[in-house]
Amino acid sequence: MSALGSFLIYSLILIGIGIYAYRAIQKTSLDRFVEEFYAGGRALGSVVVAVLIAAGLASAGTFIAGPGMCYEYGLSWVHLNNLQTFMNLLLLGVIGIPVGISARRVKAATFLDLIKARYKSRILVILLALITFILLVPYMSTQFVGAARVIVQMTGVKYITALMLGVLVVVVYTVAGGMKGNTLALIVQGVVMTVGAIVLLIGTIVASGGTMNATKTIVAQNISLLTPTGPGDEFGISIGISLAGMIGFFIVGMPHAILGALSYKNTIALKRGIWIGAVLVFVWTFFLCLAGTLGRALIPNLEVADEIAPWLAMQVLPGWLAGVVLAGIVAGIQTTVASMALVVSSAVAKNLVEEIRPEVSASSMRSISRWVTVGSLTIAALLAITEPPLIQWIILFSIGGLESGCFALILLGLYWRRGNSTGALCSLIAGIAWYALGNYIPCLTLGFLPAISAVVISVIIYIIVSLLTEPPSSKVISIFFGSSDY
Amino acid sequence: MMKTNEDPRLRLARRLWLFSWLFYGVFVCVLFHIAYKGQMEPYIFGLPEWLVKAEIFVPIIFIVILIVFVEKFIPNIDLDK
Repeated sequence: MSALGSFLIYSLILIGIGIYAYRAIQKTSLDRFVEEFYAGGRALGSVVVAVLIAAGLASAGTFIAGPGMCYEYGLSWVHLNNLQTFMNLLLLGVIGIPVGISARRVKAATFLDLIKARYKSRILVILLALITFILLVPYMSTQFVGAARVIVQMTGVKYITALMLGVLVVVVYTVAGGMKGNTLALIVQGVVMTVGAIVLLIGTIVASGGTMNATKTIVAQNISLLTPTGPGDEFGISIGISLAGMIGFFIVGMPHAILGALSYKNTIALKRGIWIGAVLVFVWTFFLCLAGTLGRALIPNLEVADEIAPWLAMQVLPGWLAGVVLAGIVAGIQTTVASMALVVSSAVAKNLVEEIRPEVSASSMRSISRWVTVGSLTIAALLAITEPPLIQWIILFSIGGLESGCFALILLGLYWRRGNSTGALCSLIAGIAWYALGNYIPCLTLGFLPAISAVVISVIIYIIVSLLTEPPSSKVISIFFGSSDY
Repeated sequence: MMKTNEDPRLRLARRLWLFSWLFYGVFVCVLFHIAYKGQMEPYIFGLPEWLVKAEIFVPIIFIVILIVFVEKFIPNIDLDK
């Protein structure tokens, strides 16, 4: 069987899941539709929670750009990418319990429902919905670009056909089945991604005559590719600290990651989600990245570094197994897009529309939710047609922007009862503004990536402004911080 | 501001937050230290010594510690109250 054959089988399975999930969710009563569609009825078990968060955060940056960077810059990027191993801990361990408690109390199905209940600010919800849309849609389009490039590489179909294939599958299972479709697909995708990563590294090692042989070949090409700071010592401690912030400490500022914290069933799912996630992220990251570097022993002059993972799959594996690796890489991207589409859709369909037209009926909300999901995926696909170069910079820009704006108001809002809406609004504006300036005025960033100083500024502004203005109402404090008899 | 009795589950949440950041902070320090101070040779499994120690052994050891901590020390609580 060819690579295209096994990839089509994988795609058909996902479409089947979408149809099944659609039938299941159509049986849900209208008053429970939003909670089912966006939060999976808050009944997700350990493995699904683990994959939902890990795969949602580990995007094309891990599955395509990761091996590409490791091919280009050697083992230094294996080292830097390993900093993301504990993303699930840094999300569920940091805000899992307060989100789990308060989301149940206020019946929040989306992250903006939670923000609305905590801050009672219409302008904050509208601004956050717009920022989520503006930053996540281009991020989604980069994922489609990455997926389409991989499909083109491995199957030979035209870029536009590959793009449509990647988009269609996600549209079917997210629009039809919402979170239910997404979670069922995640189980298949988690297996395919893990098998794909392991198989690719084993195939690369075997094809290069063993690790010792590959290492000697790379030493002969350029020994600095085997150092932790990379060729020219360009990846030192400051970029390491910046990445530890962006893909570690500040990860709670990523709205699509919060889906996992909103939808886990109980603390057993939370605990297992933390460590299963660490195991999965380590396997995906390390195996794919090491394969990227060792790939230099097989082809030292690949023109586009990001194409190393599909190139290796096609060259070192039999056709059908190459198709499994392709499916694994595309699955890693689809999971991210699906999570983002649900977050964008919830921000616009549920929260923005609810703010503008509070009288909207439950049946209208069902249609609006689906149409907005289709709309956001379509806009992302249309942006992807332009095939933007250097997708990694767009990904990093979006992550930095979201964290600069959202980190302080999410984390402090859940733990500090004195935090209020004025503090949240000012920190959002200050964080985004500082981040935008930091991208143009390097001295503002103190040698780190711009998101680091922007997050620090937004935290300081949140605290100062909250202390200088009225505290939140006692009702809000009771709901978010009070004991069960609130 | 009216006095509100704090939900005792938030105390557990704060401890877990503190643990998560401390755990990750220690992981990053150990990873950086072993990677930047490590040597290229002798090769282990055909790979540079610093890579095997920092990028394979360290994450695996930390994942094992995490599993033990999470399963043993985080109590199961009711979230629905």
